[in-house]
Amino acid sequence: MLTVTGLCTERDERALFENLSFTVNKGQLLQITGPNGAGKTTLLRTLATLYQPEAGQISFEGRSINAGDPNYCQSLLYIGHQAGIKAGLTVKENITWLCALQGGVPAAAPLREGLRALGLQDMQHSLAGSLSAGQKRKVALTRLLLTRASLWILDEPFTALDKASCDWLTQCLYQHSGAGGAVIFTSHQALTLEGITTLSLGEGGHDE
Amino acid sequence: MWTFFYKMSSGRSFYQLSGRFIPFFALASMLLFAYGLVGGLWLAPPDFQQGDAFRIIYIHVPSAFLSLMIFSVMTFCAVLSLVWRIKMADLILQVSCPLGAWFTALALATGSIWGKPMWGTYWVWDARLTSELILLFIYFGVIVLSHTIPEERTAAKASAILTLVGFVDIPIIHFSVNWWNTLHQGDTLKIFSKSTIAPSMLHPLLAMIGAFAFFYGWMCLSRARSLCLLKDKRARWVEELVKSW
Amino acid sequence: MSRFTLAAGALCQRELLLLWRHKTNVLQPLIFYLIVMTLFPLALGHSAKLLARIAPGVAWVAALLSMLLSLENLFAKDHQDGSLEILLLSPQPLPALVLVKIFTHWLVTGLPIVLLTPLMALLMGMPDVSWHYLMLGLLLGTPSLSLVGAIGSALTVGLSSSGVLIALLMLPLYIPVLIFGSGLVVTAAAGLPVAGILAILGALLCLCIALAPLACGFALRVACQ
Repeated sequence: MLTVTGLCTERDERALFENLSFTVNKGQLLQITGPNGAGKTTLLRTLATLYQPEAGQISFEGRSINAGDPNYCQSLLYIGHQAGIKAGLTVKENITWLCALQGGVPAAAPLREGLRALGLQDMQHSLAGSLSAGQKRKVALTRLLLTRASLWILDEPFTALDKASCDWLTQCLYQHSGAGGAVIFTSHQALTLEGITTLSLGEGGHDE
Repeated sequence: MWTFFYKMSSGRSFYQLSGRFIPFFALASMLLFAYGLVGGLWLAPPDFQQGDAFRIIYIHVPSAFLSLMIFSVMTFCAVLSLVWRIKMADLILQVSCPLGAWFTALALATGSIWGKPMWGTYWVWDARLTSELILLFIYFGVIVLSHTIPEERTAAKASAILTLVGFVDIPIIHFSVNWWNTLHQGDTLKIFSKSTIAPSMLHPLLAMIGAFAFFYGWMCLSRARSLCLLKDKRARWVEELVKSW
Repeated sequence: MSRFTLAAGALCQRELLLLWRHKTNVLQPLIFYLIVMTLFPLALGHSAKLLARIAPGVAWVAALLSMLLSLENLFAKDHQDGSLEILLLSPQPLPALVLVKIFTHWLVTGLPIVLLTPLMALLMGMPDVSWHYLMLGLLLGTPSLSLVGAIGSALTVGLSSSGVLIALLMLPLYIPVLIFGSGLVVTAAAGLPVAGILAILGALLCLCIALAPLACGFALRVACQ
């Protein structure tokens, strides 16, 4: 599905990774691990075409991709550290807008279900600015239920989530991979999940 | 051509190649300076209207020419950097910008010194002067932008974009300032027309323009070389270079 | 409804909703515009003849400054909360989305300034023909200001205090619009034909619509690295 060849990236004159190559197949859950500063977030941002690598190629379904490739963007769901939740909009407005940008209208049933699963059903009309960090995270994760994207790139999706929501998210990831999608994510939590491939980035962060 | 630019994208080959160019540029610039200054300041006859005051053109015209030429060089570098991601183009752009600003400032300063005996005042809102002043502001903008953005790569790309935007805007600004000047009844004297200039005055002038251009090339390459060393300071070739001294 | 219109409509709606919920932010540049206009009679004296003569130029300078003031937040807030990244990763063409965003920005900053012109004319004692053309000029010119200014806003998006920097970068580029905008009023007041100047202002606007969103999109991708 996604093939990375010879990826080199540097930050502040220091090589984060050199000649990194790997493949992500349909149905694969890939966890990127590594110490702080190893370049996990940079790698995810590079895969999402937000960051331009020094060298190397990323191809999606056999085609090399550039920043803003409409086909790739259509098949990609990226949730970063900053999840893009507008404090001045209500929970529902946020979700509606995020879906519209991907070119869809949120279907009512899965939305209701997801909000209930995450314990947000009573907060649909409250401003996102009044929510806690964990709740904001959950609003962002609701996108997982409403997207048709096949490749998910999630940066620290488990951060700030309570136990129940962690379970929900895990189940969500499995469902997606079961349906032929792929997920690339980072996490500091020691996950005891089955069927996950890991890619560990070097000890670069502790060199200096 | 393409292999040349491709080579230029590596710090090492840029360092070596520019090292070969610098002595040539320095020599050419010095020779042309010598001819231009002697020819312009001693050999050329005084102008029959302006007397010896006209001799400032040997500084003024080359600096004004360079102020535009350097911006064109920067634009070319901006395209190289944004389209083909040639890193050395970023360096050239970065070091050219302050040089361009200095030449623009020099053109403005010599222009207003010349203006005092000719127009009776240091500054008039002449179309050329105004355009040149705005060009200086655009140079300031690029310099400030490239120094304000902390991340080096982002700073280089952002100044390249601003340079391109400025390049598109400069002809429009020049046109509008010209129009504005005629709207407000220009009260300036016309500078004597170029076509009637005597060869004994013209040749030193051309030599001075060449001298300034080579001087710019010399300065630009030497500064880019030191920046290049600084940038690649952890690379093996820099280490070897330092050891070999 | 195509996907693009859906996305563009949602973006437009979102922008207006956010602006509506932060009304004071929208009003600030307008109040600034009014206050700056008030300063000139106080500084230069209230002779009716002088005021009527300088009014168009003053109105243009004040409009320019107040539009600059509002540009700082055009992309900065989206950058802070991460929605800019989402915008960059949308399957819709980025320059088109940027254009939508700039247009909504103009609707709440540029258009009110245009609409305030009669009030300005009243305060400054401008003759009718002058303020008619001032209004027309502002209507054609302020969108160009928004578009060009957006480039500055996009270039400085990651920086903490970018207000003065945007002004520094963009004011020199505003000069053509300023010259033709105020020149339009002077020419019209002198009874000369103005079609040419209107055409130039229109051409500048077309050029800005064509190029500024591209430059903005590029600058945003660079700034988000």
